[in-house]
Amino acid sequence: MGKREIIQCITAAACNFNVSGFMNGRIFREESKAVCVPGLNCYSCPGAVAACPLGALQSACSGTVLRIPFYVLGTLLLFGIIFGRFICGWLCPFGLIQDLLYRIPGPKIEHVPGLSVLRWFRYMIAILFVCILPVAAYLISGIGEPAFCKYICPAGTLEAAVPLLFLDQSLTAAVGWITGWKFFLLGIFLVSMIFIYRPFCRFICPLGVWYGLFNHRAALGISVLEEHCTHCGICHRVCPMEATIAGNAECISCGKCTDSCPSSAIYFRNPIRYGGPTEGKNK
Amino acid sequence: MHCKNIGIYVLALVLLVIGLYRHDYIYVWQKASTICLECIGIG
Repeated sequence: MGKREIIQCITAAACNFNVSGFMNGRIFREESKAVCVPGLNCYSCPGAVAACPLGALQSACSGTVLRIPFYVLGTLLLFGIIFGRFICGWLCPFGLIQDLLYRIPGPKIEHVPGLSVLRWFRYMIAILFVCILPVAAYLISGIGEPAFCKYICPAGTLEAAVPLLFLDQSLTAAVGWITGWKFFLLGIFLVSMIFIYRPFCRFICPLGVWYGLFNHRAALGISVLEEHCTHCGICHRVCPMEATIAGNAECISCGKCTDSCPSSAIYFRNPIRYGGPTEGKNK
Repeated sequence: MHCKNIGIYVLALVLLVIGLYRHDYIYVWQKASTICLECIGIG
């Protein structure tokens, strides 16, 4: 187990520290729930001790009052400029779940021509389900809705719906077609995660869209020394996210390219020196 | 540090301060401390 996997496990455990919630089916209600974690971790998960940033963002548009979410936007901006998609690779609990499922033996679908085009789908999802639909629902009916959480998010289904519906019979009695749809979607995601590396991160996640905007300038992340780069393409071949350029908006800073580059042109940005190459390699 | 990065840090802190001043964190807490029926496919 490398450094990245260890940090992922520690982060996932820290985000879901309320173990008793999985026993009694009650979610955590303390003040820490006012703080957003950087990764995707449903706040209705019985173990969750903090808020999901995507859910918190949409909740500003849900309900009967439309609010500009200054607090959540400031948090997301700070996460983005400090970490970029380093969060996806190292700090996201749902990313860890995908990494673990991909370890299940089986045929792997890699570098399929045209599959990478699907990465534009997540931009459409982010704009439609996170930005437009919540506000549109508010303008039409007077009540906004967290459209991504409600219709798509598999993290909510897996981390919240599964344990809560299992533990709370009163919730089970209230399930409807949306529950069925979300479980169907979850099934598709879980199966695809065995054969495709992080399909949710690559093709669906709006949080990755946001953090990807900051990837090239965040304090943490991957950069390329152009003067050393020989354009051999090895970094693209070994990249599990199939990023065309190391450190671009697709890159989750997993570090596989830094280990593989024959000319040592790829490095983790040093947040202390803010930009320079680190001493040695990080895994 | 690039000027744009400094600007983004400043903007993030300004947004955070405004949000804290307006007690936005209370709304986040209220939503996060109750079961999100939409998240589990019921609402």
